[in-house]
Amino acid sequence: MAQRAVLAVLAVTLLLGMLFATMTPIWQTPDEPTHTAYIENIAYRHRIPSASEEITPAIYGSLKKTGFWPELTRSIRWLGGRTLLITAAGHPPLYYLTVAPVFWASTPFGLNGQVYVLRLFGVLMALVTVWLAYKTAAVLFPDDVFIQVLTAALVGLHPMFLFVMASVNNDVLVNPLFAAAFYVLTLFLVKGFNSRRAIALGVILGLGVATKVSFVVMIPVAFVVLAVRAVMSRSVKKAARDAGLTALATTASASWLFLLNYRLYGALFGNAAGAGNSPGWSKFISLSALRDYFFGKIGPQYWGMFGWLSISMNRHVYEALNLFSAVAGVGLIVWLVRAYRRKKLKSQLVVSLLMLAGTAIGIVVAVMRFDILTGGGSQGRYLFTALLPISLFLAVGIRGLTPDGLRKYILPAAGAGFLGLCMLALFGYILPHFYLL
Amino acid sequence: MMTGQKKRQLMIFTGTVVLLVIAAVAYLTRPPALRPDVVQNWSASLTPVYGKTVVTQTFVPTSGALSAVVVRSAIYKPIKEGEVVWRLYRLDSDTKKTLLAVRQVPASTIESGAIRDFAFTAIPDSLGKTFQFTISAPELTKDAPLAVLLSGKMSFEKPYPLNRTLIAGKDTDQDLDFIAYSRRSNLDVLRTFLAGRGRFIQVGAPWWFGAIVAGVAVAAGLMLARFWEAGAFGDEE
Repeated sequence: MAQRAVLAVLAVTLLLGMLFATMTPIWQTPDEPTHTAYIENIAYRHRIPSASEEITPAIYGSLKKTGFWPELTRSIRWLGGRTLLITAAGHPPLYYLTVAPVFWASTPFGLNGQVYVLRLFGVLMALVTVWLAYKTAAVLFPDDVFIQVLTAALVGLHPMFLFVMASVNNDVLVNPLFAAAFYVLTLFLVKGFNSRRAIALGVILGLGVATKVSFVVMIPVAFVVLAVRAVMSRSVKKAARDAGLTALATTASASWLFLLNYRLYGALFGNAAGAGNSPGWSKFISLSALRDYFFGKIGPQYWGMFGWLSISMNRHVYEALNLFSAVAGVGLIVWLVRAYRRKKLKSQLVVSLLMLAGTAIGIVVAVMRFDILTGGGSQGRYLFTALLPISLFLAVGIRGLTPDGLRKYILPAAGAGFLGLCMLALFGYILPHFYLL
Repeated sequence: MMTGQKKRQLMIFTGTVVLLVIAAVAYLTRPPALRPDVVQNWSASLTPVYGKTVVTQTFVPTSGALSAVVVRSAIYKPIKEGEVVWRLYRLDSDTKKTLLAVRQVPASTIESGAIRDFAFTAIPDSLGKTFQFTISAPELTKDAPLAVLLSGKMSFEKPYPLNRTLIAGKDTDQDLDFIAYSRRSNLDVLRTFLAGRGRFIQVGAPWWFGAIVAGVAVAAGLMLARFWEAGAFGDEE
């Protein structure tokens, strides 16, 4: 039942993703030129570029031809000059190595076509994320079709998530890897140990670290989960063996990266960026500062601020989405109280929800820390690494407020609402912004 | 024989597709809205306007139905009296220009950094023609002038090569900080998107885009019907 609904969500996600990929002009997604230049270097020059190199002449020519700078400066203050560096070269190379053959194979389509093909790769990765969100919800709530379907819908019909996934960016690989890690960790907590899961977890951790540095947050989470599961099942020996397998698989799947780092930078962990001048955590010390950050910056960027964060939606749209989140938050409490009273909160479920909530909070804190380190450089899309737990909790919250008799109305209404939001983003904001002149 | 649930699903599917088609028609036939046309809002410096000083900005709209111009101005200190005069001309030739609109604004109402809009009846044939607007404040003095913001030309590229700015009759290498708006319909916007002009992804052009949009409508209908089915799951028990 749920699976059929989720397959329909996947079909809509695919088509909406294709619309985002088609309707957003080339280079008008954050950092697309620099990510593409990284890929181009691997595909044609068989080398990893350095962050101090300029983007390649082909991309530079396309930027000029497609009016990149005038387009950008219509709506934001572009502080860079005409020169663009391959700043993406500071990222680990897995995404770029993965898509370089696709980029190379699509050479006959020209640069526009190549970027389009890479954007479609991202859309496919969005489908993987949706499916993993559904599977995670199904493991946690096997009898609740409503939560399973709504979780998948909240991921697959998220306008900003689709915009980011339909772009050339290493986020398109790291987001499904985060989702995969959440899924395997949930399996561990609910269904228990098994060598296959331990190795899968290790491989996901290794691939995640080789995709984006932010993934390291999952390593302590993974080993805490292994320890908690060992305590719950009282089988320390088996847990130790699985932890060993995970560590081994992580090391094996990321070892090439460490060797590459050593060769390029002379250090196993690469060229870690240093902290700049920043006001530190005092920046977030007041409630008004937190309100401004979450409701004025990260919140709108999380739900939808397109282009190079230059296309905002009407503030009432953000207010409606904040209201939706607040209602879901109340619903989550209602659901927890009800489940506690009905003795439905089994220890595996509680620990899994704590793991998901704790990691999501950890990711939010990490994004805030990045904001401090970079003097305001954090973006709402960085929270998509926690999109699975966030969507799951929103879905549980809506379920908590939905009487059984209304489920058949609320679920299509929620789906229609988020579908409408995606259409509004595409036809109400992106299209009029870019296609006026 | 179709069950009640199947009938309901078919209804939801059909209803969704029909609603999306209605929404598409409403979207495309919506009255034209004001949309930015020439955008030059890269504020970099100020220049005072008073007495005989006239600031002149020439520009060429890139779409039809020019309808408004927005300029950003400032004051150095509060102004009690006098007016700011804004005029819009169409340049018919090097020597001939036609006055299209005049606006007078009390200088006392201007605040620093304020955006002032000058709307006028849409000019339907504005595409590609040269227009000029002037700002003057003849009653203001050097001690308490109006200031207009100038938009620095980017060192690497000028977005609107036909723009020209004169301050007291002298050419500058900057533009005024201004935005010209045209009235454009959603249909015009869609036409521009489908026309491409080389800066877009453009794979397959209109038929490809149409196929995806039609696919979204069908898949959305299917999805909502499935959602109804999933939401109703367990109701019979």
